[in-house]
Amino acid sequence: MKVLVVEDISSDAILLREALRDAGMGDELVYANDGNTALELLQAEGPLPQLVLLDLNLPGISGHEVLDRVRSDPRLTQLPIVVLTTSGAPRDIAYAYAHRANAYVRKPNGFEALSAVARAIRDFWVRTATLPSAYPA
Amino acid sequence: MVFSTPARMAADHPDHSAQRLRRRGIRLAVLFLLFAGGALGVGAWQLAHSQSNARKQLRRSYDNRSATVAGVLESLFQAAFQQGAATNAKQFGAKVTQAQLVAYARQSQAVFLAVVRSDGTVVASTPGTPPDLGKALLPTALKAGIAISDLTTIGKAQVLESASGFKGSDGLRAIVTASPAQLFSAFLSGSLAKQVTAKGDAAYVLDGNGKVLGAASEANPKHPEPPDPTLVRNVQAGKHSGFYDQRGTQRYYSSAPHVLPGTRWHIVVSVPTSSLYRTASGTTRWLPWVILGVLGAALLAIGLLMQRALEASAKIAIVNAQLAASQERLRERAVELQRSNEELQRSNADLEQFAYVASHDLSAPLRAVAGFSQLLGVRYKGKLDGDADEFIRHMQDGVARMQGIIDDLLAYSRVDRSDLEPEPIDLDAILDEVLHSLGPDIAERGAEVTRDPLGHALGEAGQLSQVMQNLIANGIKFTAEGVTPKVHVSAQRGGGRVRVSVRDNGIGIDQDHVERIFKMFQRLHTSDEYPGTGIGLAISQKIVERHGGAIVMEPAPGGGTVFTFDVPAGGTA
Repeated sequence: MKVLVVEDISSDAILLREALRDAGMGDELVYANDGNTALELLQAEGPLPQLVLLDLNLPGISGHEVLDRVRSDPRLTQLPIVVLTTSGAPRDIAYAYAHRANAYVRKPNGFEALSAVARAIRDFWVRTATLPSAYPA
Repeated sequence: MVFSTPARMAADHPDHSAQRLRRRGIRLAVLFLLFAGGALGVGAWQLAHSQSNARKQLRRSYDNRSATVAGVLESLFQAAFQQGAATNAKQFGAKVTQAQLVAYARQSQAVFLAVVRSDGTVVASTPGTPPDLGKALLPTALKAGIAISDLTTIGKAQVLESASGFKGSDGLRAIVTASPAQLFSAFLSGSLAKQVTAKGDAAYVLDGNGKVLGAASEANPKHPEPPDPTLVRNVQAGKHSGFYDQRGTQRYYSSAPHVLPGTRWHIVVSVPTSSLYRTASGTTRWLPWVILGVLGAALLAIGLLMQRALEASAKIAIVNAQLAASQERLRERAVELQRSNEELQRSNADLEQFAYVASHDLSAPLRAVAGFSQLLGVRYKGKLDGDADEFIRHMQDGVARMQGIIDDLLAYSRVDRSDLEPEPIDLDAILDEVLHSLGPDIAERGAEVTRDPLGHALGEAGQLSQVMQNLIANGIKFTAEGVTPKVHVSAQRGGGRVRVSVRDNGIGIDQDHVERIFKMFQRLHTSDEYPGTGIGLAISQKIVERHGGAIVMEPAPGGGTVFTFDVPAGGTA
């Protein structure tokens, strides 16, 4: 399963990678460490990732704007996006869902907790849900 | 921080400017007084001068009076002797008999009488006539027609000798007589009496020896007083005018510049100074002075009033300046206070912002440390030696503590990151939730929590819940080992506020540490003894103060501690 991880803090990215690997999702991970890169990757020709894990606090183009632009792009409207951030601010949560994020998940502290989150994401998005990518247009 | 504005500098020295004002006022007053005094002095000098001139004038005119009196007497004498000379020529010009002379002597009341030739030989004489009678007078009498001696004595009689020349058949002859002094005295005094008219006037005829031949007095016409010896001495010494005292009265005298012709007699007039200066004394004299004095007093009064007014205005100016200065200071103080208050608020806000940003930004690296230490622990557990496993555990503990501190710091700085929006809250419901979330701790320590109904309050439920949770958790936590923690929560209402008390039977807090316990991260115990970051009470205090209340700690009766905080009351109970 191809997953795009948008995360500017490399240590977080590595921990997330390890957690995703432990959860069995590490075979096809793509990284973007800022909003620009994320948009470029998504708007490039070729196959789209099946899931995007999007941080909100990004340098340059923020996660909020990435979300907004992705949803304004007809090709990307159905792309499953899980906001994965440390922020618990109600404003951020409301914004994410208003811009049709598919889920809002708080990034926990500690590797074990992060692993648990990774496993939960795997259980739902890999094992339970049927994604739009199963029926490409 | 002190801003020195020009206004401030001026206001700093109100005394100086006021002193200047005052000095200027005094200078003005002194100038005025000097000027007024000068003007008055000139006036006084003028007045004195004119008055002394007037007196001098009066004295001069009085001096003329003696000459006038002398002139009157002289003309009387001249008339008498000219008439006498004609008669004498007729009667005694040729042959003269003694009987003829005796008869004439009786008629003229003379004591002795003789007719002599110009060479001094006697033509005829009354019996007993001294041969040299009138001999000394002869040259004068023959030349001027008449000569009279000074007072002299012949035998026992006081007489005046006189000689009067006339034409005889054998050349110039003279009739010499010795007449009683009283005869002349009566004549002279009678003549003088007509001349003494002014008040206190007196007039005298003095002979060459200073003897009084005639006297007249306005004050006492019948018995004129004799002249003062001083006057007589002065006249004899040739002083024609001057002052002298007679019985305590100052008098002015004037003697005629010449003796009466044919005699050595002086004509003297005298008057009391007061009478002499009458026209230049009394009202005439002192009224100008009184006016001048009154004027002076008025000017002095004006000067003093002016000075006082100026001084008063200077004082007012001083007070005004001081008032202005103190007002300025007050205003500046207010401005400074406001400024420092703003600075304080800003620095508080800065500090909170700093705490927020710091703790927020610390979160990411800390997350990395926490994450990787856990990753190490998971991945390499048992693969390294036993020490490594322990080190990793310590690292994880440290990170967890740090995470706690950062969370607390964030919580502390979040307390007033937004405006307080108080709403009615049910304190009992909040206590329910608090006890529920503290359930595990309560169970673990076997604590007993009892409660009274708390009622309603106005505030933020989340924050007040945090306060109660902190206080109750502390009560459970800070107990000695082996003691069952007992916490009692109660409330009192009054004055529109609810006072919530949390009493415990814990280890208590030394009164010396009361200040410290409400400070951030201040701990009285090691975290091994009692875990925690030490921010709970600081957050609680901040929350309570935000609700307009205070949180206080007191020792509980029977051990332990009571924390009481107050918040606005809400609802009915």
